[in-house]
Amino acid sequence: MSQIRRSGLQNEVIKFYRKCCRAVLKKPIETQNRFQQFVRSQFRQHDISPRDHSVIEYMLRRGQKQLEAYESDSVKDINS
Amino acid sequence: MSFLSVSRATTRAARINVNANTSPSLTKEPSWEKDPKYKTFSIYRWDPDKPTVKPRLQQYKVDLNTCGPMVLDALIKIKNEQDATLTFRRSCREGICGSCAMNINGINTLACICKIDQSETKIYPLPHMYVVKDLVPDLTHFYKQYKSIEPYLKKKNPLKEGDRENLQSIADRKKLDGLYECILCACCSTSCPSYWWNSDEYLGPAVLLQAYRWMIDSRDDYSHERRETLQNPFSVYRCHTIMNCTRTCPKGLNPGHAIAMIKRDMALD
Repeated sequence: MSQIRRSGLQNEVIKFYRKCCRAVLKKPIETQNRFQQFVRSQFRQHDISPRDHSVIEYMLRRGQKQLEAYESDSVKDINS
Repeated sequence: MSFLSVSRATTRAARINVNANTSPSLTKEPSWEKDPKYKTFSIYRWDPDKPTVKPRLQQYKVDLNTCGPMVLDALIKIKNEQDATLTFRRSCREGICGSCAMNINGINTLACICKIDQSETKIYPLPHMYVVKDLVPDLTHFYKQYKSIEPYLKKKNPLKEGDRENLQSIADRKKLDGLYECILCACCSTSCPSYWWNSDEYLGPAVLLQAYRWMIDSRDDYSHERRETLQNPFSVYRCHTIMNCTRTCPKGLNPGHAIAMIKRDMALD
């Protein structure tokens, strides 16, 4: 099977998504579903062309800031 | 006799009437209306809620006769009358808080003390900073760097019983003049090309000015340790005496000189 060649930016986005999912797994079990839905919606809701590098980088930065906010143990639930 | 007095009275009345016609200020309001003097401001706009729309320069016309003298007055007037979505930081309007730092005609200053130029004015956010919205830069990294130098008094021996004050001579207090007035507006750090290229490791002139302020404070016992934490190729030694910082400081401070003093003290350590 030939490997899919992914650009550095695509790899970063995928790595970041996995990081967010791992952070979700550390949350209390009752609310994991809601956190997972939040993460998925944050990644899917945008209509960005894959060639728009600056916008993708901005989205990544924004996502990092949001992750810093909700990955701490004191955040137990998320409502959106 | 009576004929004379009557004639004198009439001539006096005629004189009063004549005076009233020639000096209108005594009877009518002076007109304050001047012709409107328009000036165009080109302001950087970007909306994070529409990230795919590229940043652009938007033109606004302001009548300078109905506006205060400073750029901040013009910005507030534009926000009030023309475009309420224009976003910028502001607080004191007197150049002491450092909130309204932005790049006006290529120079980093505070908008509240920058007089409006008669010619075309371009207003950009602080250069090489991530932008939160319009003219608002993201200064979290800058504040993290400031926190990393531990900008507070540290003493090796706790104060003895009865000793409530850290005494300091007048000569020692004079050493802090030109250092403590820094308002952390970030104008100098964002004007330094070395900070643009190395902002993750290089501390920048503002933070180094404060580091020097704590280093030479006679009340602080940890001067040597403060210098030790800066002994690496990046924290201080990315400074190549470009001196943009001193030129652009809106409070007239000299961060370049402070950095040179740090380098000297570190070499003599």
